[in-house]
Amino acid sequence: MVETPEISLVAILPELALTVGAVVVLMVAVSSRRAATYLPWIAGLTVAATGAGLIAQYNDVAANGFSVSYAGMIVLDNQGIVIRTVMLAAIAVALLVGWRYVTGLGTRGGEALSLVFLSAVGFMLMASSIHFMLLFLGLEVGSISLYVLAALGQRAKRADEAAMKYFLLGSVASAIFLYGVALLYAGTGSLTYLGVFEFFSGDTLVFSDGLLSAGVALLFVGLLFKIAAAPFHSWAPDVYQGAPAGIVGYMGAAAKIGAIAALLRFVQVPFQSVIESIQVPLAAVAAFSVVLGTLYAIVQQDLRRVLAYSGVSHAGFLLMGIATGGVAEVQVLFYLATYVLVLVGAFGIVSLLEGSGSAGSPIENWKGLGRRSPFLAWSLTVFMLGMAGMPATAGFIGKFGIFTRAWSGDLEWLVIVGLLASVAAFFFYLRVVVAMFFEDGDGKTPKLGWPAGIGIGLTLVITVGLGLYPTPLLDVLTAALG
Amino acid sequence: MADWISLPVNWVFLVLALVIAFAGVKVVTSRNLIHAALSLVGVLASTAALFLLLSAEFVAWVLVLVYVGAVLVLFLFGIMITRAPMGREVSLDNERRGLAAITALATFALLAGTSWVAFGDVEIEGVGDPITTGDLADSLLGRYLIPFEIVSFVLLAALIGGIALARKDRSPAEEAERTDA
Amino acid sequence: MDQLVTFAEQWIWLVIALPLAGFVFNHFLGSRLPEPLAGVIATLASGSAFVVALVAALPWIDGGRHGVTVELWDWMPSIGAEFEILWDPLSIAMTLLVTGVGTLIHLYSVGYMHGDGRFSRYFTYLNLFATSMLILVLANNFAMVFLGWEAVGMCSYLLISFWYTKPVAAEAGKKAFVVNRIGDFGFILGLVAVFAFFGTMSFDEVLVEPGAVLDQNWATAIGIAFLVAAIGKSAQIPLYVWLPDAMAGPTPASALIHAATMVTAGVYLIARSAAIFDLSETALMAVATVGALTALWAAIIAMGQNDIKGVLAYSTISQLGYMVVGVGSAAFTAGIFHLITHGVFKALLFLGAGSVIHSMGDEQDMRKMGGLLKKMPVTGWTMAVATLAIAGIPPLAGFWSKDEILSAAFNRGGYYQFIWALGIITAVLTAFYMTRWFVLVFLGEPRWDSDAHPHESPGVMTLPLVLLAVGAAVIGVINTPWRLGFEHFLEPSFESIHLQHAAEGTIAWVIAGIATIGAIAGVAFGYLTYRNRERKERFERGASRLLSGAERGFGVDGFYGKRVVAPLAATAEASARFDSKVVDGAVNGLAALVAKAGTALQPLQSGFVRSYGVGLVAGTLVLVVWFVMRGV
Repeated sequence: MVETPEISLVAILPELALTVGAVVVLMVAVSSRRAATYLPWIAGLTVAATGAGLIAQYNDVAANGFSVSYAGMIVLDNQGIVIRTVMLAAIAVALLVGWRYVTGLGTRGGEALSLVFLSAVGFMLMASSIHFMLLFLGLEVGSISLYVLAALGQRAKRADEAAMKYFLLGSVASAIFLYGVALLYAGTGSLTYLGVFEFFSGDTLVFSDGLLSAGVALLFVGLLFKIAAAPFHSWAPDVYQGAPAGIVGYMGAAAKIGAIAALLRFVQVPFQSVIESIQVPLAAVAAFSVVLGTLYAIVQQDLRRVLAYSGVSHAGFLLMGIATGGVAEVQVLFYLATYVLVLVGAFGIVSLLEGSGSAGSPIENWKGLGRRSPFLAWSLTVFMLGMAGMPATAGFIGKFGIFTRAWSGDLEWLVIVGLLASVAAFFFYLRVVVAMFFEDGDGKTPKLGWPAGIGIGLTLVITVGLGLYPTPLLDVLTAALG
Repeated sequence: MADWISLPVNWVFLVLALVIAFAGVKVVTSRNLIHAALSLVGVLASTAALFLLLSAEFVAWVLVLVYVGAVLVLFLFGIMITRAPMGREVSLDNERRGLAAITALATFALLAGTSWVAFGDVEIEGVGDPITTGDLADSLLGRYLIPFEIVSFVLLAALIGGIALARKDRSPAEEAERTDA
Repeated sequence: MDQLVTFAEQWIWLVIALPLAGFVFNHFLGSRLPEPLAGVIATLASGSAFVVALVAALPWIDGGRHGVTVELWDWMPSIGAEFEILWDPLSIAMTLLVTGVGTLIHLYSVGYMHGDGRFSRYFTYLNLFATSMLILVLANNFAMVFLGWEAVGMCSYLLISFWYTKPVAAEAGKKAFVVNRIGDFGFILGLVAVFAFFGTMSFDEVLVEPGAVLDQNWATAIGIAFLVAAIGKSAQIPLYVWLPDAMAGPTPASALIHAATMVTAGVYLIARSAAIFDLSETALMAVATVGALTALWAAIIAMGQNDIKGVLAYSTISQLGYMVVGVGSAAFTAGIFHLITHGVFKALLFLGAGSVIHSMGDEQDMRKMGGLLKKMPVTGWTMAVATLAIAGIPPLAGFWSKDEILSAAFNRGGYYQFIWALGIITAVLTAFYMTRWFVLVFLGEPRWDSDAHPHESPGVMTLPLVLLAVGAAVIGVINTPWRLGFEHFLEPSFESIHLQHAAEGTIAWVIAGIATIGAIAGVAFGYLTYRNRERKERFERGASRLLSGAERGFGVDGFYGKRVVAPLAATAEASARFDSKVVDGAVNGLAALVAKAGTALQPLQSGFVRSYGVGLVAGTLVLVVWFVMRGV
């Protein structure tokens, strides 16, 4: 007899909305001749419906508290809602600034759009999953969509190369992760977070724990690969450089959101009682990422690669918060939210300057942009300062929050490494600013359409607004997670 | 030790394991693409047999049907249809094989070591209990309903990718023609 | 009075908001306005901020009144960092200096920047700077100070490289940026430490009784961290090298940022955290030592400079050293007093130098000047006042404030009397090199190039000179040994602290006498030496080694370039090579590897993925081994 698991539609409403959106986009793109005119509406409706789903979820949690459904696989709680909201914001901004990319793809535009939605479904599931199997599937749905997105641009050798690398290495990472899941199951006899937590809290080892330890390590490797933490970062520079500029910001953001969401849950539930033994390796990876990302970013000549390596160091900062063992969740989420928006915004500007294809973006091309397009130049300046952690931008609040939490979490050495790196990081963030304002050049003058203008403006307002007045968001986060 | 020798299942395992190991090495060392692919057939078929030993018949047949039956045949077709080199091919080697071998051996040593440390010679009960296909179906549509659905998303994404990447873009002229029609 | 206090509480935010409004306005509309208008608007914005500050300051002028805090909005409540203004005597003094001198420099700039292609952009930066500096001095918590600190830094780089087409300017901007990073690192470290101990950044809680939380060692550590910050921002040994180069920016910007206000932020930071320094004698001694050595060293270098702004740049470093000595002797009021007087007369000196450069057609070499007093009487005479003021000739401003610092240091006794001796030597050198500067520029035979036509600057430039000269002459009277008005005024800001007071009675007269005799001797020696060509040449021959060394700044820059920057650059390059060859190898290594393999491999399947894979798996192995060894 089939036992039916408890089904809770509200727990998967946003994913449901995105799925419907993805399928409708696909159908319309195939069947209608005037698909191009419908696409913006469908995209807008999907985003709106997802937002509505999130609101419904929020109300549900406010009324009933958190709930678990689907045989202990999906949890509906505020943390998941926050992460999915961040995801939605990233999609919205990415579509606004990258809309030219979608339309530029012609008949493939619908497919790209539907893949964006599908990948979001996958990564959102990672945020609400409390089951390792489901976590893996979410990871795969998201990742495979991203592999395809990386290759979907105009036929360019560089894009194909990037997509191929991303796919091959990503598959290796997925395999590693899956191996970890298998070993974990072998060791603990459970695949739910709660079961693993109970196993570690109790003392019921089936066998001596070497294999189990290896499994845990492999699990973490799989996720560390997705956030591009060193030494699992090697794919990032090539992908950030070769994938279509119109969408690569979203690709970087989405993978980070999903994997960070999972890592955050890892230290909160299944591995909470063994946090001491995973703290050191996590902190080591964090330090390695921060240092390596910064060092390499300094010597890059191409803004895309700079952003890629800066992404490595940002992964390190996020890990720093995770390594505190779940006491910095508000700070990590704040950091994540502000970083991914700035990342998407910055790549939006790259795609406006270089076209949304696979063209590189050498610093040379940015010279003199301050004269040709002051709005974009200033926006990029603010984004760069935001990533660098300049006070009065959201980046500063985020970094500072993580530093103080890590400091009080007995990770002082890590804070000092992070401080040194973030001081050095100003060099490469400001390189492009210097090029834009203090060097003369006569490169392209980007054309700014209104969707991109709105997207960039929105990101700008959020970055500066949250830098000067972060209290509302911090309050919301604290209240939601408290 | 005597117990070990007296159990026929152990001998079967040994033979299968040796086949897998030998064929696995052959896959990466063979300088002939066809041979490599055929060796892979050997690996997968023997793995399926291992699953049978564990009484996991469904998984075993899936392995045979999907991998041996479909995927590998696709490989072979792919090799034959495209102009991939057919005979011995030096270029299939590269000068980093030493490094790769070390990494592979280290991985093997680590896994073998941890398995040994983990299990020692403890006998684990109930590994060979059969799981019927019916049981599997029940849990796929019951307990694992959501993952089961999500798997279809994986396939959907891969499908879109396959089509979108393989399809040729229509030229603007063709596009116009299509709109007129 | 109470009404005025209410006024201050209600409207003090305007002091920050007005320059900000000027910045926003000029940023968006400035380039469309006819030339002087953008400058006039900027000047008005700064000037009205000064007026507001002056009115709001009235209740405090008599001294004895405590500061008020005005919360504007919650910024980061969880770390005790609100957007909150602290209006107390210390911030009042700084605000009046920044807006007062700032307004005059804005006005002067309208004339100086006339005809520049980016006229309005310049004023945008100037207003932005004023805003940032005011945030810094009006902050009521360390986070806001840091916000202002970084923002003034940004403006400083923007203005140094304002003429970025000149490679010197671009280089100088970069250098200032790099060097200041080191200082900022100290600041952040101090910031994090403060937060770690107090759980908040608010002055209200940190500075009231830090001794209850900090033991002496941690107070020393935090003090040293803030000292490092000050060393960067206030150009002390060993990080002073950026300031002379910063002179590549427009001269009025140098006057405002690199002489009168921004560079004093480090001194302000130490004075503001006086309560922490009060806990640690070691930290204070470190501060005083750095200050005294910097003062002496920079004065020596200033003697050999031939650039009209170069002398002033090193003199600024030297005078900043005095201020640091002041705060390092726990004579915080004296340090701030010198900060104020120096702000006035050094701004005057730079504006005068700007006036000269302007009229000489961008000539900066003093060896091609001379005899300008006749051609530019207003500039010349105001510079005479400024020179005597900085030389420490009574009763001009510099005498009072410098004497206050030296007297306090002497009075503190012990080690500080050695500091005092260094200060006296510096004072003599200061009088000497400033007299040399004045004589070379304004007296003697004209040595101009034939195409130079020096002339007096327009009224919009000379008016600020005259006003500042009056200030430089008389501002010292706000704090004389007979009437310690300024000290009394500042005292509420340093209430819980063991303030070091100046000496009293006979000893005070003796100290003042020694300083005065030294100053007069320096002036006389400088005048006599440089007024007469023969004596000048004899002196320069005699001291040639010292002077030529000083002219090059004793090669400190070169040393940094060779021993610090080059190895760092090499490390970065090496890691980049590693990146491109071993780990990453994307584009550069591609051809090499393909060629080496000598195969028909597709470039896309170049084998790099495999090397990436090796990195991935190797990293995994390390992690797995670690986990297995340690267990979960």
